[in-house]
Amino acid sequence: MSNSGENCLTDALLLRVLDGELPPPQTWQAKLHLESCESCRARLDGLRLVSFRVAELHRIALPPDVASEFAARLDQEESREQDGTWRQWFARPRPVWRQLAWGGAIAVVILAGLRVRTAQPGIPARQIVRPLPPAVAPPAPQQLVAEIPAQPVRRTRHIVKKHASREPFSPSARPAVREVATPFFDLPFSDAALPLDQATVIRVELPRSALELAGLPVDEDRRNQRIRADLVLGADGLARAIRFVE
Amino acid sequence: MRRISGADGLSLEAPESVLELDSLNGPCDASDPKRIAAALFEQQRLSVFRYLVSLGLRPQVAGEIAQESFLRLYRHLRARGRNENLRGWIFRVAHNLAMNELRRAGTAEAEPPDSEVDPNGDPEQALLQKERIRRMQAAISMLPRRQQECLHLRAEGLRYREIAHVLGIGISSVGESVQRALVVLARTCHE
Repeated sequence: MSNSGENCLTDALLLRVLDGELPPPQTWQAKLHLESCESCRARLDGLRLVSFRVAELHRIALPPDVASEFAARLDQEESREQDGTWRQWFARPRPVWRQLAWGGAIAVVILAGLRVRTAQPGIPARQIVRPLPPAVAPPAPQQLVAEIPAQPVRRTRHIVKKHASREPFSPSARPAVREVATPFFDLPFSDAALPLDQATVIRVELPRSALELAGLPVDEDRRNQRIRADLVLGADGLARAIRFVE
Repeated sequence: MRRISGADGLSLEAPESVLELDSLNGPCDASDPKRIAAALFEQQRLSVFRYLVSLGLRPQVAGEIAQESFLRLYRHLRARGRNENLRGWIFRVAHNLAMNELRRAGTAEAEPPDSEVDPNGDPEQALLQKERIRRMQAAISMLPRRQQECLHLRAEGLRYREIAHVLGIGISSVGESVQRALVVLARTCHE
C-alpha cells in the first residue's frame, strides 16, 4: 500500500478516513478525492479488508458463568463496602487543618475525661444520696453542718452509709481530721426524674462564691478562697446536686 | 456481525463490539456506582475479555482479570473517582493487570484460542477461514508489541484517543502504529 499519484491520499490519511478520525472538512475533501481516484479507493478497500481480518481473530466466546460470577462478586464487594463505612471515613483524605481540628477535639475530650477521673473516681450515687427532696429551702449553715469521718482523698468516694457499716471509723487507725459537710442541694436545671442509678459523685474545688448556688451566705472577704464540694453527676454527665465540705 | 457505514461513506461488516460505544466516553452519573459497573460490564465484558486473550492470556485468566477490572471500576466510582472515559479506564486497568500477569508468568501464557467460524457454512470455506486466521495470527505475533496492542484495541472499537489513554502514548503514535501494522498485514492478506 503506497501512494500511486501525486495528489493521492497517504496511507495514514486513508486510515484516518476509515477510522473516522479526521475532522469533517478533511473527511469531506478526502471523500471528494476518493470518488475520482480508483487507486485510492482500492487502497482504502485493502485497509478495510485487513481490518476485517484482524477483527476475525477477535471472535472468541466468553467463558460461561462469567456474568453470574461477576454479579456475585459485585454484591460481595458492595456489602463489604457497607461494613467498612467507618473505616473509609477515617481513611478518607482530609485537609491538614481538618485533621488538626479533629485531633485537637479528641485530645480535649480525652484530657477532660482524665481530669474528671483523676479528681475523683465515681461511685454509684444511689448509695450515697437518696432522691433529692424537691426544692429544699436552704437552712442556715450552722444547722446544716453534719460531721462525717475524715477519709483520705482516695476514700472520699466511698459511700457514707456503706463505709459506716463495713468499716467503722477507728480514731486509732487514722488521724482524726474532721470534715463537715452541708446536705446536698438540687442544682438548677437538674432533672429530678432522671434515674440516679449510674450517677457518680466527684469532689472538686470551687471558689467560695459558689456557695451562692445553694443560697448560702458568702463572706465577701473570702469570696475568692477555695472550698471543696461534692458534685453528683448523672449518667448524662450533668451535675444534679452539690454539697460543700470543710 | 453488523454492517456499518464508515466516515468515508462506504460500508463495512464489523463485530458488535466495534459499534455503539461512544455513549460510554462522556461523563456518567456516578450516583449509583453498582449500576454503572454492572451496565458497563454487560456492554464491555466481551471486548475486554477478547483484548486480554489477544494479549496472550489463557481464557480463564482473562475472564478473571476482566472481572477484577470491573470491580476496580466499581471501587473507583465509589471513591468518587473521575467518571469520564470509563471505557478507556476499564481497558487501561485490564491492560495493566494483564501486563502484570504476563510478567509474572514470564511470557505469553497460551497460544491464541481458536476463533469462531460459521458452523453452518461450507466446510471447505470454514477450513480456508481457519487457515487464514492462523496465518493472520502468525503475522500479528511478528509485529512489535506496541503495534499489536494498538491493533487489538482498535479491533475492539476503541478510538485513537482511548487507545492512547490505555497505552499511555500519544494519539499520533497510535495512528502511526496502526498504519504500520496494517501495511505489514496487508502483505499477508495478499499472499
